[in-house]
Amino acid sequence: MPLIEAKDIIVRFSIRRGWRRSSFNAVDNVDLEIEQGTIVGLLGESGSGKTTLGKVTLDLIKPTKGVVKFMGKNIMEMNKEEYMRYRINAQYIPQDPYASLHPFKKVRDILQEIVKYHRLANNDKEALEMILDTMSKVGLNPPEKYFDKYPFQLSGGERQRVSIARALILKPMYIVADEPVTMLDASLKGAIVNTIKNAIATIGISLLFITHEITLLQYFGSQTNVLVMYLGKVVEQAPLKELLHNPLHPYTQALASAIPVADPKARTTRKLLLRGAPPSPLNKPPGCVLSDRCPFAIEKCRREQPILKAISPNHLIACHLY
Amino acid sequence: MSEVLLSTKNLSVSYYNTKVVSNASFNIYKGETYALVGESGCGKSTIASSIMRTLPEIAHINPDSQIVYHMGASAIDLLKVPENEFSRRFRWKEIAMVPQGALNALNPTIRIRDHFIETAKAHDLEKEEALERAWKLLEAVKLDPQRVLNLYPIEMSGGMKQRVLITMALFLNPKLVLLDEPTTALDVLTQREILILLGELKAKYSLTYMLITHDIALVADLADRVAVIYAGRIVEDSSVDNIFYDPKHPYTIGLLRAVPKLGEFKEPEVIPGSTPDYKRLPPGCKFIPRCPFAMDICRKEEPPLVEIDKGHFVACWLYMKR
Repeated sequence: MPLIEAKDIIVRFSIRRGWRRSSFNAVDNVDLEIEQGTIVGLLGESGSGKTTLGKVTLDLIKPTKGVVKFMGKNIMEMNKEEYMRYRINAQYIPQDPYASLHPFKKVRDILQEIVKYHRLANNDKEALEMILDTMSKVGLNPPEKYFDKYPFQLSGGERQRVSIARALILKPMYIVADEPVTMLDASLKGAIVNTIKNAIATIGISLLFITHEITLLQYFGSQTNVLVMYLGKVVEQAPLKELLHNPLHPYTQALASAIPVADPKARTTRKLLLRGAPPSPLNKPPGCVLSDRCPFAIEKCRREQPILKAISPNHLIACHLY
Repeated sequence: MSEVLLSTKNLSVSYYNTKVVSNASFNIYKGETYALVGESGCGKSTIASSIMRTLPEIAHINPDSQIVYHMGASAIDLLKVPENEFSRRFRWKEIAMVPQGALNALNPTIRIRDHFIETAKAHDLEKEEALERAWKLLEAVKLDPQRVLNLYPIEMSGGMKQRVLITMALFLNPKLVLLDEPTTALDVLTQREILILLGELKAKYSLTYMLITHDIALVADLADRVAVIYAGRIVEDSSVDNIFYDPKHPYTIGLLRAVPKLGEFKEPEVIPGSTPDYKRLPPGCKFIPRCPFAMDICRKEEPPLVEIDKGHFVACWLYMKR
């Protein structure tokens, strides 16, 4: 039984433009399954719906249609106790370490508040121990040094570590990390991803890692299952190694060839497979979401939406070419 | 080698009593792309601001510093030019800058056309002439001028805004363009498009670029020569091939190792320690606390930037014959 299971998720956002009201599907018929203790990568450009999907699994956004199950139980049908347990066990690491910490609270208070709210500790000493333990786990060493600091006194990397500590302190079973390192320096990215990786490995947490950088997913190993999203749709799903060496969907191919590589010799081999920007989600093409930019588009692509189907046991793709 | 366009000599900048750039000397040759690379807070943007003379008032440039700009046969020390002359003759006309953060650099309350008209007013250009020039440049960056000129910044995507900013930098026909993190905050595919575009513009308008970034992959893609900066000091300066295939300074080596390579699934390698604290810099080499090869002399004396091979400058005691 998967730990988190999202089925047929549709999230519809509506916007007003003058008198007209229009809506679009930010997430359009997506399935997501995460087994206990595994890592799933969610790859896509901005506006692809990856954050929305992540938040749906945390019940931070209610889907317009579809079901989210936690340990086999529909979260909409949980009783209060079960729902509380789900909430404690599903945590979130936000993208922007500069905006997500309370500016008037010290690190100690930020963490203590969570422990107190959920009554996880019997007394102050136990609470303190939990905080110390979590802080050293995320690399805030020695914890005493950071206790009485306000977020503005910390560097970007340290802030993100506090964010990670905040998610870990409840010892959750499931974490959504939403672009946790985009705002950080190149030399720090690896360190932070490593921290997340080690922290979840020791207690077997499941992780949904949302990113637009395919190279970051490599740190989680070649067998990490990756979903590629474009305009609310999952266009390809495969283990990372397969995705890098044998990308099949034209969008994945374009992404793979556009990845910046730290090698001056690779310059000449770069090419741009997709031109232009993704269309506004308000006027998605009627057929395949990529049909207006895809160099291989055939008549069928413009009419009919391809469905995600398996072409080998764990390689799924939504494209009429296959 | 072709002729020098701009060179700095012993450029030192302090904020209050903290020296953030220390004795930076480098040459930028006509027609090349020169990259300043380093982590955030290493002083690379301060160097750019000193060249544009847009430093905040609290900044103090050491009187020994020189920024020499070569115009035909004459060499002019930009730091000695009075401000009104600098803004009339140099800023934007000879040296322009594409600022960091494409998403917030435009005035949200006026249309794109008014951005150009304002610039024209400040430089005594006729409105019609200005719009005509803007039209041509917008076509050169592959935007539809008819449409874009009437848009507000909020109506444009990140990639479009970045293109408009590039257009504005090129508006007065500069020779040297400073690119401050030109692709951060853009999607992978958009990044690739902007990079290709920058290459085209450089050839078309015979520009010289100074690239400021922390993104190693971007450097590999764009630069001809690279200066690696640590704690406000140039620690290594050489051709892009030397930097990537024969790095000498331990910091450069660490920086390159920290970047994941495509198709490699291994633990991230991290430079130990944290970014330097300018208030508490060690007396000798500033990289000592993080350097795996630190020797006695490193603790006592700061290494000078020395040419160890033709065109390969390194500031490290490991490579110095004594």
